[in-house]
Amino acid sequence: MTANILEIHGLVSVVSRHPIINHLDFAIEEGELRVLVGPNGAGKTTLIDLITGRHRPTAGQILFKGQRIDGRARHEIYRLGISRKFQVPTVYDNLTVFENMSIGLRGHRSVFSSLSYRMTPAAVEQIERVLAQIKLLERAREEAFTLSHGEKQWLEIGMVVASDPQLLFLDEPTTGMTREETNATARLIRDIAKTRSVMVVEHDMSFVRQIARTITVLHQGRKLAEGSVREVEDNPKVAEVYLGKVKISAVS
Amino acid sequence: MGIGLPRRYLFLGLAVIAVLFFFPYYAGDFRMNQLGLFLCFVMFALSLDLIWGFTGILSLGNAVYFGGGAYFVAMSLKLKYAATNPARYGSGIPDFMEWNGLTAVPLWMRPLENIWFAAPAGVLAMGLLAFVFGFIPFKRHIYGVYCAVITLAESLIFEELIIEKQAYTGGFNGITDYGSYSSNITFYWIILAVTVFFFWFARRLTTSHFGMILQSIRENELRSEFFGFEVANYKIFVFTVAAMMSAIAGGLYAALNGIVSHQEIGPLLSVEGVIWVAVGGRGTLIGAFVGPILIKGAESLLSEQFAWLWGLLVGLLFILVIVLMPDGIVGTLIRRARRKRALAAGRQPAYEPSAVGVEETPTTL
Amino acid sequence: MAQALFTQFLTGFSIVAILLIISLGLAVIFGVMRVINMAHGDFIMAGAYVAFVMQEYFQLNLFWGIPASFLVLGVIGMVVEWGLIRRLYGRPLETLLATWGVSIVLQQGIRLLFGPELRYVKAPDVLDGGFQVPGSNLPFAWFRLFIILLALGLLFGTYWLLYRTDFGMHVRAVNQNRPMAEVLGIDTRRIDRFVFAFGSGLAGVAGAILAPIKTVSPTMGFPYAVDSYMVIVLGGVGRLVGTVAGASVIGESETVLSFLYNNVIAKLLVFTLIVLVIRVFPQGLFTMQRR
Repeated sequence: MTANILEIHGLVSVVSRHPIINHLDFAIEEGELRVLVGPNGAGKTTLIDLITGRHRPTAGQILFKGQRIDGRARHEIYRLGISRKFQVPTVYDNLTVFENMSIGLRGHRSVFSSLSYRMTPAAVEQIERVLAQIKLLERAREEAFTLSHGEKQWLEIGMVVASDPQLLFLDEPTTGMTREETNATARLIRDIAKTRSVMVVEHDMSFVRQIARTITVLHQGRKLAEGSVREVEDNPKVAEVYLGKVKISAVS
Repeated sequence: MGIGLPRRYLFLGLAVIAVLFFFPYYAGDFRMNQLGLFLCFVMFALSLDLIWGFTGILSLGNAVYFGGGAYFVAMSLKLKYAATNPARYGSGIPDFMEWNGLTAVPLWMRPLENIWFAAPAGVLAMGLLAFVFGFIPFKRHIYGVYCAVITLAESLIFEELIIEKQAYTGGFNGITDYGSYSSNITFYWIILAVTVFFFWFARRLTTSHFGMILQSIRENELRSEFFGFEVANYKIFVFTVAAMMSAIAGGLYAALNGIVSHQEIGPLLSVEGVIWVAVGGRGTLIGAFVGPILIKGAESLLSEQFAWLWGLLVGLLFILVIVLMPDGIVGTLIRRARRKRALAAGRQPAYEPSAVGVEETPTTL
Repeated sequence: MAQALFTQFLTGFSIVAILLIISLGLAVIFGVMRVINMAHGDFIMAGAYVAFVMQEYFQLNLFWGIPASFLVLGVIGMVVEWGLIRRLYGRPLETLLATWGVSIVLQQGIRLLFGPELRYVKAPDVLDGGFQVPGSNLPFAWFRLFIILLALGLLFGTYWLLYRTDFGMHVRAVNQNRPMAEVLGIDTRRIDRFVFAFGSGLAGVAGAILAPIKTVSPTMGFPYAVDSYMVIVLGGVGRLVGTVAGASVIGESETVLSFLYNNVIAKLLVFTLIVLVIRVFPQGLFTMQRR
């Protein structure tokens, strides 16, 4: 059996007396490509927030490769090998595409190492490789604010990929994308997931079907269901929670 | 952004330096002294541009480091002057010490008698102070408005402390009458050389990988945290470096001006510095030159006749710049050039952020 | 010694009251709009000048001066909000700087109108003199008692406005979740304008009430501004209890420490205290959760 790269036990997060995550048990296997779905307010982004160190959990444990990471600082968690892409494409508008990517590159995080850092040809090559993969190579010297919404999504994906994480969180990576862009993103994510563990939060079920092997359904801070696409779609509890949305998008 | 500058900017820069170099020959002593002081302000503005324009830290209390460096140098020169001018300082100690009942220079102040100790000590002391003052908000991830207000309070308290300890600092009047290097063309050239050096240094810093990280912090500090950068450390570092630059500028100022008082420490000069950078153009480095020269130059030319109106004009100018031209003069020019470039490449961006990351509310991630 | 400290403690009440009056306006504005008005101190100063004008040109005492200051500064606040704050929406640091520009303009303007000399405003005659506080030998001026009562009055007035009126409910909605409030049909721009006007009016009142205590001059406002910022940093944002807590802690600490040491040391120690507190509560003692 493959080891779990991420394990969560009894996670609780209470904000203003409201439990957003409510005794959640959850695990991701090493090398897995997991999809997390759930209605709005289910706690999906909050879960990622807790794992990546944005907030401290009220209770529970988060284990990364067997080590506890709950309560640790954000930059520490990153350096352990966890990266995230945000719901709203969050890139540095006033820096060039290339510069954005070089922020993502792994290594030389401390003040003094960044002062003495000189970009190696190998690093340039790695950046250009990823840029080619996300089809932004010709835009490398342009400032990021000139990119379209979909292009920014890809740039951010490229940035987090360049950081070579072992566990990658993608929060709604296809929001605002066209059909072709969504399909291209699906291919990109499948490619990325070959060499690392990935968890994707998504709403677009046709996209989910292109990439998912296992889906976890979150509802009101708890795991509602987990299984293959088929199992989840056929689950009556899930259908009830989504008020039939799953079935509708199966048609679209 | 970019590694080297196009040739024409380099030539322009050299031309400006040449003009400044030969300035004393055609402008006379009084204007030379003025320009020397202005260049000290330029260096102060440059340090502010580093922390604000490039890193996004709005500090309303950075004159503390400028004035602190000034006080160290002034004190040293004063001690020397008092000791070597028995005709005017019979007891060989500064006047404000005498007025406050001291009979000799306190032991802990003795080393300051040597300028070669006092000046570097001042710079290091200010660096240390900045480290502490920066640590307080940055380590707690306090930024934006809260941080600005805290720096304001820090500078006010420091100013009051300096005034209160009048036996050691000259109190409200400050340190005066210690001879100065005014009307000394060599000293003017020294100031010019240091200013040019600071520009070169700032350019190297901001175009390095480190500088890029600073800008990412300005753009979206939360995002950079999630990319593994310990933002607090970067901020503390650049804040400390800027403080030491200010201290050097302040020391030169003290040596040139002949007077140093609480006005060089307090919030008034701090905010003036911010105004200079805002008008010149933050995040551009050149703006730190344009801003003070323009405003201080205009002040010296106009305030002779319009002293009563000048303050009002500066206030209105500041408001107009913030609202209509938030990138400042140089920043707006850069932005225009950038828009031309984008259009030439066929891009029609959905929106245009300011050229230098004029701050928006932190994005909800 | 204990009695001396107790005396200081009682004196501190009026300092707390003053801090509360100064900070209330700013707290309301900052709570709703997340805007730090750098001209707040100068609004206070302008309020003092309104009281001065009422006294000198209309021969009306402070009981008229106070509401006059409220109205005049309310109007000025509305103008500033409409002309300036509104245009810088979503950019708090920009707003901070722009209001600093307003501060400069106000100071210079007042100086042009009235000259830089110190002006004097009298407390109303009926409030002259004082009484002996039972249990100590502290003489307590009627005027100081008036300040305390006014502070309480303003506090309850603000509370009533925010918690017992429809308008106040809208304000609190905007405070907690602006986008949601907008979606529910609340005109957030109008709320902003009135909140800013109200906060400015309160600043005016602060100025009027302070005029008899401190001499009136164009630069009198700045120290009050910094004090009020500290109250907010310590007390927290969005809840009245926070402002009261901040004013109380700072007011009492400053009074007692001033007595034990001196003014400057007291300020330094209070600042250190604030720094220590925000290390534990980075958002202040009482703060509202915002979506």
